[in-house]
Amino acid sequence: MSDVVVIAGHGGYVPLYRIDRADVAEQHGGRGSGESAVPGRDENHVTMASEAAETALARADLDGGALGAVVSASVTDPFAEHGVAAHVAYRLGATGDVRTGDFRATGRAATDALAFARDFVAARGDPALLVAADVMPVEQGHDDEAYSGAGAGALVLAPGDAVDGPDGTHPDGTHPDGTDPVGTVAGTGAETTGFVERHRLHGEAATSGDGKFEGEAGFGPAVEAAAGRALAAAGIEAPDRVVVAAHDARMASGAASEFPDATHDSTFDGVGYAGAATFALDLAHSLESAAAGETVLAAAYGPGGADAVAVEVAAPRTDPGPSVAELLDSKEYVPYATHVANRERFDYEGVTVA
Amino acid sequence: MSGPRYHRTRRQDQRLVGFECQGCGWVSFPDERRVCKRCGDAPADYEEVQLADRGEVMTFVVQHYLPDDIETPQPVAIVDVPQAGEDGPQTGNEGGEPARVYGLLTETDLEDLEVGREVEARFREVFDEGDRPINAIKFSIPRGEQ
Ligand SMILES: [Zn+2]
Repeated sequence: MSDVVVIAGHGGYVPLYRIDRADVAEQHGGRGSGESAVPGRDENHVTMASEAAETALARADLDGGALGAVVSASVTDPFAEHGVAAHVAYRLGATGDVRTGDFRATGRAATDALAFARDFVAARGDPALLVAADVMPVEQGHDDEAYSGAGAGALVLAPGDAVDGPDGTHPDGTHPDGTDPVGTVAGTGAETTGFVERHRLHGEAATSGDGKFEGEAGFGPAVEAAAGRALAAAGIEAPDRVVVAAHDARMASGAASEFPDATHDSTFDGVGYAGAATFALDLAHSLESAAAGETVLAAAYGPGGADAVAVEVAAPRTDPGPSVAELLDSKEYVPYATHVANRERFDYEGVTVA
Repeated sequence: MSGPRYHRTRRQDQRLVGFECQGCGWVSFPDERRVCKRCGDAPADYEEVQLADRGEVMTFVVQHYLPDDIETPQPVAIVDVPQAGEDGPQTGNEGGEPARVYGLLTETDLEDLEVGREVEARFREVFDEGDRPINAIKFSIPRGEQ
């Protein structure tokens, strides 16, 4: 078994509903551009993560039963105990001797989970699924309100030698044509700063503190160091595409502009910031948009530091769908009241157990 | 198995697993009934079958008057869901009968809904048990085809 780990499948999920940011701005005076995703009343972290996971597994041509691990990332899972990973695993049929784990509490939870999944696959030789799902809470009139997003993303990691090994089979033997993986995880890097300016209590809007200070002392150096390490490990000088997941879109664009020749792939204008899900959703979007042979640098920042991953794209695919681009196009606008109400956990008062 | 129904039938509700009577081919869903509803075999000999993720609306009703906390209008449909074939989830299993599934519809405009319409299985929250969401399969007109 080699320790090459590949991305065998990827998928994104964006809810159908959107709030026009101008409609949010109108409530409080001001202007807004773009839109943010609003979950349906019957959607939650597990259902959204499952949607993205089904797409990723279908593209990897794997059954859930082939997975050795399912890990989740979220900064808004409302439960202190309950979890996301085990419920997604059950839905997919990944039961029994399957490692599950939930990563939380920072926007870098998605990259923490990815790094764990990568190491798990390298050590055990079984495929692993990473899902990330978030519904950012809103506080009416708060600076972040118009940019509070919702969505999910998923990646299936698999051992490289199982995909193009001597018998050309998938780990579970279901893929006899031995097609190329989406890409190879060529390098990872991290930088832990311990520095926290932004923070958030459960169910509440964030306190961002001094954004300029955070950019200069937290985000900037953390992302730069993590990205540098991932690129060095991968032997890549300049990536073709860049993903930067951060709560502040301007910070993210600033970091992406450090690579002036690279395409910056972001769903921010259509989804908003969707916490840990933004990293997985934007990376899925980037991999769907990439050409074979391109390289993608993807970084996530959150309280505590940043992580980055460098991917060499081999065989990008958007089938089976839906692609993130299709999900962004397929939408329905909802009124302001729905945007507020649907981000709260819904109570079915009076509805008893069937 | 005992316990609440949402636990007993969670495999069926979350993964669309049905039970095919080996005597006559009728597919029992969601419960694995002891007596086959069609041929009357008792106990019936069932084989587990995976259902496809798309089916056809056979009939539906639209509920307009429900408690405040349920979104109205709420369409409820009887959907015939074919068995997932060997060649992929969209292919009906040769000879196998579809399961008749009773399900809620989500994200579907009433104008788009008609008998014979193809609908897609969606994993959604159906109710909660205390604070805990219970997720199961609903149906919707496939996104992008509305
Ligand atoms: Zn029978």
